[in-house]
Amino acid sequence: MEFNEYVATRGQHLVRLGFVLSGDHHQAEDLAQSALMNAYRHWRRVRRMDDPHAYVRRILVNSHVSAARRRSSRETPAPTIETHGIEPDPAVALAEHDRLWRLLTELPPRERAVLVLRYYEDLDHASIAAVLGIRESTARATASKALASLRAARATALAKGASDDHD
Amino acid sequence: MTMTDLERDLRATLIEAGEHAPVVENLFVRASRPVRRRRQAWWVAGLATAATAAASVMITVVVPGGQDVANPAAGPSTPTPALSEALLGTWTPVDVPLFGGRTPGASTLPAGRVTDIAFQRDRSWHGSDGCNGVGGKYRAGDDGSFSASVGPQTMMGCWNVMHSEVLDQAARFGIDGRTLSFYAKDGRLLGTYARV
Repeated sequence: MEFNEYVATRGQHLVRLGFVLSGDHHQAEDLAQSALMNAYRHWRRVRRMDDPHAYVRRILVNSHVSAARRRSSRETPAPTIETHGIEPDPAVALAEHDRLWRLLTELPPRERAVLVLRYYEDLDHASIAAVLGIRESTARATASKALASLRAARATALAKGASDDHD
Repeated sequence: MTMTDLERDLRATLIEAGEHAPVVENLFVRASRPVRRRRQAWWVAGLATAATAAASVMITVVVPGGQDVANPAAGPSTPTPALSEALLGTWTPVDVPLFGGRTPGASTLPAGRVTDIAFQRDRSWHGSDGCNGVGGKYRAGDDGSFSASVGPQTMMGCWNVMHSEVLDQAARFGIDGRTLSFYAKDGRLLGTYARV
């Protein structure tokens, strides 16, 4: 497969993955572009791999996790996330999605990445471990911890919402 | 796999969020152009250095009879000058990696701009970065060791060939024919110059 064919078939998917990971339009573009640049630089080697897309995805995810960690160690304000079309909505389902989307931003970068790989990319724990360069058991434990955090945060948010309605 | 409500909501949330990602039309160009440009700059710089080195080899070829073509007045018995002695004179930049990947050759400079540097016997150096005078003191050993101080300079913005940064970081130098190279303490090539 030529590089331009790969970009035509998978490029936009990489932008979407970048957005789901970062929650930011500019970061999504930058993540996809830099992962593709990296792949283009070594394309002769990358194209011979069993799954070139797995390689590019791995670059994108890890560069996001590294950058997010660096940012979180430098910055104290909570990250702002673009909702773009998933603003709170009167419809319950949309409001729930919006709440979950915001709760996701509060997770540590690697936990969020694990959940994105699991529930957006539909990867199993072994594949997630391969992407992040961690053990399968660590991937499983991280996913479990992240889900528990989300569950607790959602329960707290729901309880707060109910209490506000009551007042 | 049985999914909990939370997992189902999470999947739906992520898929919905993905639908709102920006659409990037020119990804191929954005990904490939910077790499191509860097490769091109690398080739141009490499060719310029190779051309300078080749020219210097041709110029310093000794003709039969022992006379140096580059310096016919020197005669057959002139000894090779010491390295520190060979540094004296004026040099023009050929490849300065610190200079943002550009090749500061004369062909790429605006007409009339001079970016040469000169080393004097009194251990002073001076030159121009394109629009600001630069200079200072230097110490060069015959073993290739080098250090330099940089004096005050104006900061007009123009081409700003980074002689000061090159000399300030240089720990060693080498002269191959008419090519002068400066190296950092870690062996990194800082800049290549050609004798004027």
